[in-house]
Amino acid sequence: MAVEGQALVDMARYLGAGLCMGMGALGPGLGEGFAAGKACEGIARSPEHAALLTRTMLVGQAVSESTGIYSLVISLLLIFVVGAQ
Amino acid sequence: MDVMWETVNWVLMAKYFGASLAVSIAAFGSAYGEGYIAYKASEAIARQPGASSDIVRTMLITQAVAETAGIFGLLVSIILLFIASSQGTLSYAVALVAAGLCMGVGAVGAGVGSGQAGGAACEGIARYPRLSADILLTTLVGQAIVQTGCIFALVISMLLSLMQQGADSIVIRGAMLGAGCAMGFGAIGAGISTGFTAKKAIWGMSRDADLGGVLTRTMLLGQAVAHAGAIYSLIVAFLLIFGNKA
Repeated sequence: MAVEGQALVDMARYLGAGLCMGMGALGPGLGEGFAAGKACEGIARSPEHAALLTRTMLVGQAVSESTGIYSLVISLLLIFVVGAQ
Repeated sequence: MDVMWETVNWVLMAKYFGASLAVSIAAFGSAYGEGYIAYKASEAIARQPGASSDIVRTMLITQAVAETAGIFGLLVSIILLFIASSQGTLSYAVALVAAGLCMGVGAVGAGVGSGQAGGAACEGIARYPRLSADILLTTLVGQAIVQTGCIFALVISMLLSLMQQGADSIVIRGAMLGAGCAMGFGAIGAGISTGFTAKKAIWGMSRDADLGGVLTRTMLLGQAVAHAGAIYSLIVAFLLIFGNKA
C-alpha cells in the first residue's frame, strides 16, 4: 500500500493531538491538586478564613488550568481544523 | 536468517509487548504508594503503640485501594494476552500497544496519589486515635476520587484492545497511538496531586476534629477541579478513537 503525503500529514495530526493533550494535562493536574492540598492545610490552621481560602484556591486553579485549556484547543485544532482536506 | 513478517506476527508481537507495558508501568505506581503507606504506618506505630491495631487495619485497607491501580494494569495485561484477538490489521496492532501504554502510564498517578492519602491516614490516627473511623472514611472517599483518572485509562485501554479496527491506514495507526498517549499521560498529574489534596485534608482533620465537614467539602471541590485535565484527555481520546478519519 502506497502511503501518500496527505495520509502522513493526517497521521502526524492525530498523533500530535494525542501527545499534546496527554502531556498538556500533566502540569495543570499536578499544580491544581497541590493548590487544593495547601488550601485544606490553610483551612485546618485558620478555619475562620475558609471562604477566603476556597476562593483563592479556585482562582489559582483556574489560572493553572489555562495551559491545559491551551492544550485542549490545540488538540481540537489539530483534529478538526489544521491540515485537513 | 530471513524471517517472513506477516501482519499476524505484528499483531502477536503487539499483544505481548502491550501486556508487559501495562502491568510493569502500573506496578511502579502502586508499589510506590503501598510502600509509602507502610512507611508512614511504621512511623505512626512507633509514635503511638497503643493504637497499633487501628493503624495496621487502616494501613491494610488503604493499601488495598492503592493496589487497585496495579490490578487494573494486570487486568489489561490479561485481556491483551488471552482475550484480544490475534487476527487483525496493523492498525489493530498499534492499538494493542497503545492500550498497554495507556493503562500502564495512567495507573502511575493513582497508585502514588492513593499512597499519599493512605500514609496521611496512618499518621492522623497516631495523632488522634479516637477519630480513626472518621479518618478512614474520609481517606477512602479521597482515594476513590484519586482513582478516577485510572478508571478513564482503563476504559480507553479496553476500547483500544477489544474494538477491532476494520480499515487499515497509517492515519488510523497514528490516531490509536495518539489516543493511548493522551489518556495515559493525561491521568498522571491529576492522580498524584489529588492524592496530595486528600493527604492535607486528612492532616487537617486529625488536628481539629470539628473541621471534618468543611475539609471534606474543600477536598472534593479541589479534587474535582484538578481532574479537569484528565477529562479533557478523555474527550480527546474519544475523538481520536471514534472520530471520522477518512
